[in-house]
Amino acid sequence: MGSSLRSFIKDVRGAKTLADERAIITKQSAKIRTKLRDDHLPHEKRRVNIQKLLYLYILGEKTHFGQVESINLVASDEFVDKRLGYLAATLLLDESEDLLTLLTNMLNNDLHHPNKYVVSLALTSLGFLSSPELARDLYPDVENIIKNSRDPFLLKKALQCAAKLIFKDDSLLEIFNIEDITRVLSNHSICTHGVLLGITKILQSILLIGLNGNKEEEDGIDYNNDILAPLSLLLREFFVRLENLNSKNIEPGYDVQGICDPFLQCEMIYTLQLYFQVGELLDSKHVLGYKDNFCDLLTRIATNTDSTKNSGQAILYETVKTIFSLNLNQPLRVLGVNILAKFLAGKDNNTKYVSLNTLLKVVPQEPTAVQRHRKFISHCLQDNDVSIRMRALELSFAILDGSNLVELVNELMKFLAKQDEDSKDLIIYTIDHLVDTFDTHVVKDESWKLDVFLNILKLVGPFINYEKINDILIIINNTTKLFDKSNFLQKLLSLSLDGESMEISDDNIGWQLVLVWCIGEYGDLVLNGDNKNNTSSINESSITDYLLNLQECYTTTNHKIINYILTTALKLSIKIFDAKNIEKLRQLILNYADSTDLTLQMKSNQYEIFFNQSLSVKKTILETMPKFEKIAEKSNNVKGSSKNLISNEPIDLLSDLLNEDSKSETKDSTGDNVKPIDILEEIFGEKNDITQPLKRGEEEEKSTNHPTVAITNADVILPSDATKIYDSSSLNVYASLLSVSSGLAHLDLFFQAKSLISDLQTFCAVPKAQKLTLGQLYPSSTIKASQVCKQSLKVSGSGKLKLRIKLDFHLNGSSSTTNEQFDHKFNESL
Amino acid sequence: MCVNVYFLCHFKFVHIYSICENRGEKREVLGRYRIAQPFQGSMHAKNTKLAMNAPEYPQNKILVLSHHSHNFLKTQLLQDLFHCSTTSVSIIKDQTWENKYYKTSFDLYIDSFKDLPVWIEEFVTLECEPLRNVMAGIILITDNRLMAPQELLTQFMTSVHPNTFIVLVNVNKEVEQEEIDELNENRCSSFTNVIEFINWTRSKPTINHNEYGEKLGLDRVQEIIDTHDWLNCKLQPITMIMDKKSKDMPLEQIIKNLQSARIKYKSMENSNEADAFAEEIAEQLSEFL
Amino acid sequence: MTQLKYLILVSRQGKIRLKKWYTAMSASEKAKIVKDLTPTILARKPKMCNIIEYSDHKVVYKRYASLFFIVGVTSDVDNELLTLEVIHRFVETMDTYFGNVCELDIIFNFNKVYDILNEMIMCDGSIAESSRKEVLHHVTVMDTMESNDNLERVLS
Repeated sequence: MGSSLRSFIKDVRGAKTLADERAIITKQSAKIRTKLRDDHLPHEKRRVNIQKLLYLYILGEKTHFGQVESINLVASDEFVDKRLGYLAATLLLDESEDLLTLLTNMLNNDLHHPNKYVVSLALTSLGFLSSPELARDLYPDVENIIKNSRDPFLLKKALQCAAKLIFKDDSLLEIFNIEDITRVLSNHSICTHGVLLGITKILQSILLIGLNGNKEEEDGIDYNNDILAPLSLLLREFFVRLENLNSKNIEPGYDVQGICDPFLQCEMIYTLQLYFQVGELLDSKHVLGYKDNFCDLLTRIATNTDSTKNSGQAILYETVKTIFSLNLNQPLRVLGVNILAKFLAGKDNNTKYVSLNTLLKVVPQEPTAVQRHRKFISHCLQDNDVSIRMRALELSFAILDGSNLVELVNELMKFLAKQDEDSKDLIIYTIDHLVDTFDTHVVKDESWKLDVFLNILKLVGPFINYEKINDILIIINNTTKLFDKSNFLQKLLSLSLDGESMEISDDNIGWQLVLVWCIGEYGDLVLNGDNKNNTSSINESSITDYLLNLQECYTTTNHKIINYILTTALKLSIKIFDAKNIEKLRQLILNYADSTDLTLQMKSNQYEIFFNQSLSVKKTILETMPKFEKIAEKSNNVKGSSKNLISNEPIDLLSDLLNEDSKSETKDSTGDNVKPIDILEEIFGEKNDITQPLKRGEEEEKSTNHPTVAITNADVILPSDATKIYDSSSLNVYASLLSVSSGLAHLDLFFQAKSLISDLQTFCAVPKAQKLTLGQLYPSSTIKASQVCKQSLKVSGSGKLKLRIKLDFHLNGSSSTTNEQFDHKFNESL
Repeated sequence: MCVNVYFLCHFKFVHIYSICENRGEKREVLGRYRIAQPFQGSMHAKNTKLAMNAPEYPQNKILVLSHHSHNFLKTQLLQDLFHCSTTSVSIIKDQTWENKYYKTSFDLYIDSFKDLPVWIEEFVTLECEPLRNVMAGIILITDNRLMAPQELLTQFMTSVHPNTFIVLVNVNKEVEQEEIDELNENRCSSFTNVIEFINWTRSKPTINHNEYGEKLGLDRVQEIIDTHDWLNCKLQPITMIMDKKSKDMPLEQIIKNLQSARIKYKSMENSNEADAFAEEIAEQLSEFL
Repeated sequence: MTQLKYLILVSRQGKIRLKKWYTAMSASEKAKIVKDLTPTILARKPKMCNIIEYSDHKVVYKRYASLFFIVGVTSDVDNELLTLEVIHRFVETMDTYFGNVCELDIIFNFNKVYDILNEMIMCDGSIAESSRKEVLHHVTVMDTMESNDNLERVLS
């Protein structure tokens, strides 16, 4: 060891230990413990303790034992204590704590304190910690400040606080007096930006209550007439203020990169949006009369706001969000899409992100306007930032239709060519959706379509899971022209058999699987076809050897491909003529006659029996796959729901549907309609493996680690024959009776939300003589305003068809649960 | 701000352990010897938990290390960073580290090596554990282009106490800042320790801030030491009441002004006016505090 | 519009320097958020966008010097571009208050940082004051009142 290291160690060892000092500390701690119990501990010390505690709080240590101590500090007369006490209380306590009741009195006193800063501390704290009880008890004190104070500093805080209290307890709306707001708004000397922010908050609270609640008739409040009508008198004033803010930037204190107070502008725009949402919902002429003015104002903001800086972009973004959430007139919507497109063309990744995100949402409203900007969208496919690429990908699929299919698919191929293992999620996503795309859209040029898949396999074959390989095989199988198929196989073979080509890596399982399958199906086309002479490297021997080599490579590592190889060997044996090669194939099959893998062993033995049958028998058994009709149900669901719009958990959704499908397949396959997929599965004998991912953990990763998949509800469309059976302020319920026979009825329920509903839970009951089977909510238990969610019911038994339905859900992201219940009698009987 | 410092003065007598245990919660690790840890000490409670063999000694040594051939640069760095002009000595006791919030004393260990891999292999042995446990930080002066093999470096970084910072000071002028940034990006999430690469040449004053406004070069090393958790060390708070601003008005004068203001305040009849006046005075005085 | 769920300040080495919750959450939920977000955000490359999706909401973050400012926002309601401006305002305000704020200032004056923050953001994470000057004015007046309290004690 180096001498210096030794001398360092020596120095460390020689240092005085701290054991003695520790003893002193222990003694000291004991002292402090006693002192803490002592009520007369000087405030100074209390403060030090609380500060230390807050530090522990930041670190994530348990600090609940400091709650009482912080309330004690609030009770002190000294400002320094109160300030720290309130700070600690707001950090250490939360709205659910029983201890809050201890604060009620102190808050009450402090809200009337002569020192405005004490009042402000109390307002701030009440704003953070407002239980419904505190809201009820202290609202009059807050209102008192709004009514009487002339100090903008207190006013803005009182308004913010009142907004929160009203939202916490909407019965406070009864005592809320709109004139207090009107008075503040008209007094220019006190109506500062901060005060205006407070006013927007209080209006937002009230409007959100109107949007969510069932205020009509209840508690004697007629929301439309008593609340919304007087509130609408402020609209004109709001328009003027917003217009002024947007067009003049004269107060340097509020300037942000040349934009006047973007914070206030955005709050005002959002408040106006809520106004019109409630207006639409309640069909209030008081509000809707101003709609044209609002559209004009938004047009001016959209055209005049500087779009080069983030602050301006924030305002534009808020404007666009408003345009689409109110689904305003078409010129505005196009203007909105154009603003977003401008964001895409910029350099800043954050604006690109919000733009792609928003475009994805507005595609259904304004599809052609969005499609017009596909160049920019495709450009984002090449971005360095994976979240931008993911968004662009989703959007590309969302705008894809017959008119731009070729162009977009080509862009997607360019995109795939640049991806590596790090963006596996994106690759899988692309493949899934490309396969679906080719299922939904009829492509005339099938050879182009096969070329696309050839390219896909070449580029990202190693990342495709078996399920999708299966889908690709179906697409190849269903190609109409034999020539296209043989051409496809020809291309695959020449790339694989050409020893020089490094394009296909050994671990490209996807490629190998498809190739092996195609050899089994179409080997004869290539060997006997017209283009036989063109490529000398493709012949019976080379193909046979290819299978043999491949088999050797994977003999222990991948039984999936061995399964494919065995079947192909069998099928190929009737398509070639050279006895030597045929014998090789037989040997290949025999290799697995005593494999430890039971499936392989069985297959090997069965195939050996086949092998010895006469050629004519073999030919009938081993005929080429018939055209495979995809089950309609599957295509409907998958296409309709998740082709473009990505659901919350796309993978789960898909696999759920697929599972359902395979069930129905098994049921149906007894009928005349032969389901080739079953043959596929039987021959390859691996039904269970089909959904297994190519690489372990891939699937898992995909569903848990989906950083950028949008949350968009799949579309469920309300059938025209559905009858409304319930109507409340938060949702409509429709029922559609599918079939009623003696003893059994099928029906669908449709829940149409009026505003955002989340965590919907339905509880249904039927008369005693009946039994009920309840299906899952589809597509999800979260329903956006005006969207529909479906649930299937099966009722068996006898008697009148009658339902009692109870619904639990959260409205507009509120944490409290709303309950609604109703009964419905159908005319039908079982 | 001064008030805050005023609190800080008392921190050294309060023990986290005492608060915790008072509520019936035993906190063995937190309760380890930490006499003067205002905020700093408790900052890294988690780290301390990680190391069940947390040192019982103050973690107050900073090791400055370089290749023989870089001894000259090392001397410069010692001079620039620690204002220490010694060259030959390998242990310098009782140095003071001071910033606007606290000061603390530490020992400088200075070493050089011929062959970094050999040095690291010795440093990671069990024998050196007591030494590693008292390291506040290690400053390694290297040529980034001649770095030890990655595995060895990783072994070095994992061997140190979780609270020890490691700064790798590159002295090769050809290494661009981007290269350093990249190294930092790749390292930052894989270790619990503070591990940073720094570019430094004395002659050429490098740009002071990167695109995030973060300090570069020795300024950054200084910041790393400032924000370091001096485990088991006494931190002496710097009292800022006697800040340079207060030179303009001595404390006695402030108190005098305040007294007369209070008399006036009490004599005012209109409470609104009185409040406004109080506020004005408060603001005036705040200028000097 | 602005409706923040939380604000967390994390050093480049993953040390928590400040946190403030604007929605009621259980202690374990809070701990999970901190535990999940810290490594995710530290590992983000510089050129990546500053918005990520996490759990049921979005997270907007921005790095200033050696500190990451991490803000949870409400999906579909919050304006992410505006959130970036809120963070910037906050940093600017601290900058003026401390005079070129650094990590060390925040470590030793975290309660001041809370004071500034509470003047800017209230209730359920809504912005209450957009003027930096206004925020600083009231924070310093309150600072002075504290000192006056202390002086009063000295005098009495």
